[in-house]
Amino acid sequence: MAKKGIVVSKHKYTLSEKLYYPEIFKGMGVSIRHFFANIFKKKYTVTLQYPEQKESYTERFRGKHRLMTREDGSLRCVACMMCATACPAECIYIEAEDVGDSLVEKRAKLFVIDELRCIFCGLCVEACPTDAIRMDTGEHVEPEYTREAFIYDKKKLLQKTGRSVAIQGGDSDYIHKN
Amino acid sequence: MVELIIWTIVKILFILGFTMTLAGVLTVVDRRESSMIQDRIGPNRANLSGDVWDLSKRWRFLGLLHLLADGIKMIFKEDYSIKSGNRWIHTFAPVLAFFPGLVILSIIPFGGNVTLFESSTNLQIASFNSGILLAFAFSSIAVYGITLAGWSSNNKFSLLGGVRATSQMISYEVVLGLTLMGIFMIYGTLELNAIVQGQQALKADGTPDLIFGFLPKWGIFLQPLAMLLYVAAATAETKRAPFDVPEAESELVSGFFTEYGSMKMGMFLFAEYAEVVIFSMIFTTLFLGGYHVPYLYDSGFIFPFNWGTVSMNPTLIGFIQMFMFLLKTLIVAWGHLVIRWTLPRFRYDQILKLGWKMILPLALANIVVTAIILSII
Amino acid sequence: MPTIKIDGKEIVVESNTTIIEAAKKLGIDIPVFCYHEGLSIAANCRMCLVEVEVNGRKFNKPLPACHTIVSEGMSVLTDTPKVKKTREGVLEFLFLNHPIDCPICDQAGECYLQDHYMAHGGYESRLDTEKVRKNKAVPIGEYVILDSERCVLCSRCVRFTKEISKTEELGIFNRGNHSEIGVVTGKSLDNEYSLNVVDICPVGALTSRDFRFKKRVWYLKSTPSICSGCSMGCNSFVEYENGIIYRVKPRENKDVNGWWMCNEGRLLYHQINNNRLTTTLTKGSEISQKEALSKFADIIKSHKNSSDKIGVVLSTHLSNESAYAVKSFFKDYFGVKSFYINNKKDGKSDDFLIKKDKNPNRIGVSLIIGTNSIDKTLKEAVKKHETLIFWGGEISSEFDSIESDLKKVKNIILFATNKNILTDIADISFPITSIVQERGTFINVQNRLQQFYPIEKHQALTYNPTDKGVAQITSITQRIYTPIEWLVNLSKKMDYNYSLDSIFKVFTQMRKEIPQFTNIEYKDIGLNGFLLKEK
Repeated sequence: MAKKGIVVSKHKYTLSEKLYYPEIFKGMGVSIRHFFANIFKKKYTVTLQYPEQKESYTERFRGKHRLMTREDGSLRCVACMMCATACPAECIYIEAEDVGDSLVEKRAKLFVIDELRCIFCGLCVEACPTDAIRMDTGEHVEPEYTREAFIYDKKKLLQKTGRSVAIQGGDSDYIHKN
Repeated sequence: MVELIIWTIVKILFILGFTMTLAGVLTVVDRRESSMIQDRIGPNRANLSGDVWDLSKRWRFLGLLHLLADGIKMIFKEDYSIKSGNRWIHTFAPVLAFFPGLVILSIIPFGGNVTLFESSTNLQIASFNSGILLAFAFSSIAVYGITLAGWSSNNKFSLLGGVRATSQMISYEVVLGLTLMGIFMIYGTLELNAIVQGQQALKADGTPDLIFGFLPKWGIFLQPLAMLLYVAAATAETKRAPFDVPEAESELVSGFFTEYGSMKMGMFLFAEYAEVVIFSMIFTTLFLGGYHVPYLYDSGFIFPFNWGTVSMNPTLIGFIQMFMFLLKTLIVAWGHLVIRWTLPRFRYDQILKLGWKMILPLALANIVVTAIILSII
Repeated sequence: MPTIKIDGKEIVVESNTTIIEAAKKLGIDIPVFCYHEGLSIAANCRMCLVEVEVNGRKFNKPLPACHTIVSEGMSVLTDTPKVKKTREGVLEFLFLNHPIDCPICDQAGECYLQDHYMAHGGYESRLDTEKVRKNKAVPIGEYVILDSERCVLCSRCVRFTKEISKTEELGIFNRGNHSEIGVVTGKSLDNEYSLNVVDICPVGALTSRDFRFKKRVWYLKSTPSICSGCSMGCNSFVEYENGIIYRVKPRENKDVNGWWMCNEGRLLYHQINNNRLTTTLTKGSEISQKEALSKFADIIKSHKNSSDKIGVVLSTHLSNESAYAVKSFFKDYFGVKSFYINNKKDGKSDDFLIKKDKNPNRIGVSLIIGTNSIDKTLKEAVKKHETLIFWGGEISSEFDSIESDLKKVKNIILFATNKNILTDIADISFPITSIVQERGTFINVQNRLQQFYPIEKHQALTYNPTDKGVAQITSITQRIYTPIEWLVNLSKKMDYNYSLDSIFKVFTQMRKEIPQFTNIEYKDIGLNGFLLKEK
């Protein structure tokens, strides 16, 4: 028993297709139409002149990291290590320190991101309970000459910082009492 | 005698200069035109203003500076010479591919009779009565350049490209000659200037000789089939798309000039565009009435349907005709590029099948039909 | 011997057993806060409430599993809707005033509240009024810090100070919402066992000041080990990451230390992390391993005909296997007869876990050397020998009296873990691994053979946090060898064929020679140790 297959009908050429030349002229007509449409007005052209003209990114674009600060300018990060734990590339290194103040208690002494290892998945931002780390700069990591320069410390991460008033510690009046 | 020599030198310089310039410009035009056809922007980065970020403030001259940039690049690139293979032939091949085309220029009439400083001349470098046969002869020699380039490179891709070019060009030479047979029969000559004259002749009574009373007796109207066949055959002869199998980037790297670099490769590329220009000139001469402007005769315009006449200075007419020739050449060259960017490449066997099995019989039929019609008239 | 059923599974248990103990035997998990095996039953957290049926009659109210003694025909249900609802209710009450500051809480990751919340919790707060605020981050002793807000008032710590340390510093003060754990006026939590309250605290109320913010606990790996602080040999877990130890916790062993451990033993890991000898030294300055080895070989070769001039001093920190390997190496190959034990000074003691004898393996080492061959004191050894080989760099109890004579000894060769005054004196110092980096056995004061395991990465002894770079651990330039590996290296250098190159081979050899070990297989020792017979 022959297997049933799909029957594909062969394309039957019309007379003008068999003569070939009419079809060639049709094709040239298309070429010429595009040529004249594009030569004066760039009607169909969508190309951007890249380094000079850029398509802007969406708001959800995950770019270079930045660290957020509280209203008083101090770092929001409490070194809970949630980002470092969530990070699949293990590119975040944090060292905690005791603030000595019973309201904040803990902060990051070191906050280092190795941007070369980072895969920009955004899990750190999702994991952060204090809105301390964001990836909303809309920028790429700049090229550098050495690998060491890609290791961003707290100072570099704070360059694009902003104030965040997100509720911290799950209680809004708690942290802002003082 | 001195007058003749001076005129010849002037004419050589003029037509050579024009061909070279046009061929050069065509290299950029080809890229720009393809980009327009393909909805892109095309080469436009080369500029004279240096580090100016604002695009609108850059002096880019429509991207024509790429011609300069390419030239500089080609010249200053390392002149690579092969270790194996025949080095002398390898070096000589580009020259052989490039120069025969230029010789053809000598028989092309690029204007009528002009008079300057009380000295008159036909704007044609040499008037052979064998005429177009010289063109065929020299384009046959160009095959050697390609073949030797492919063979001497000692590279399988190059050799394949060379072999393909050989068989393709030899096949199409036959076809090329046959397609033009009708033209020769109609105008009764091989000499190109005579053909041009024949395309816009006056009757014995001094009235214009027109088809249906308004169409000039150009080859394109008398031999439309021959025109179509000739375009196909000539495109194959110049090895350009859709007949660019000797080069065939997707199969043969770069075909016969895979092993070439710097200006040697540049010569192959340049020869291709020079051939386009020469093809356009011959096509204009044979089918588009050469340097003729419709209804413009030696004494001035004689419009059909008895609309009247305008008499003009013969020298002015000579220059208008020359300008017309160049304009026609340009338009044909442009059309040639459009063909390239419209059609995909033929398969190799299809090219030969097209030449031997379709164009050749049709050309023969065309000759027979033309002969019958001519004998009836 | 009543037979009871828990969730349909039958078990026969002894009378006087509580439901929770029976459930544990069956492998059924009942959530708890206040219940701890080592402490008295308080039954005040109400987390372990279960439904109980006796002879088909169901109790109206759920009963606390930790406090209910089993009886014949009892059937316990731990997974009914009622029980679940009870747990949810209990948890909601516990969470009413909890600050939910897990990000800054050191307990996060090993917190009972977190675990139970994920398993049973209601997920939204129904509290309308403001939470009750209490004191946060109050140091209540040298080692412990208190956060009253996180406390669930299980009273484990209070019971610990009352029953185990018997110091009674802690208590619950105030009433209702405002109840909180506190220190009795005029006291602070400064007993020798104070860090145990950190372990038993089910939540983050009591945390260690030593471990505070050092590491999140989920990064730590754990390896069973033995405390080398004193001859008690408390069972412990060494918790580490990347070869750096962050804390030491007691390991349950009812025969030795129960669930407890003293502060001193817990903090002993600083010695293992810091100030380690990492390279071969001569008189305190660095030389290459190759050079040091050939120097050592030369010294021994020079004593070819005067082996009585060599004295080998064994530290009581050496494992049995290392000590035996050293002894057999020098005795069998060089005919050395003089072996000494480097005893540490006696320290303070109590009647619970801290012992006067601070040598973790004095019994083991003297058993191996054999009492007959022990020359009396180091004092004589220093005068008698030209070459002294110290295995283990601990400063001995006699050090003060022999220091001047020691400097007169011609060759001092030292195998040590840490830098100290001996490494400056010694002609050649070789670094050896500490007990967390090798496998071996100790014999503690009860004559119990206990074994310890190495931590995963055999590196990373000093840790230099820098402002630049991710986790910079200064890797050691030379590999640190165990004593047995050093002996193998040495025998290669001197072209001896030394066969005892692993502790298992050493142990097999040891069983042949030392009568106390005759009937022991290495695998018999297990995690709880093996009590040796007196001979």
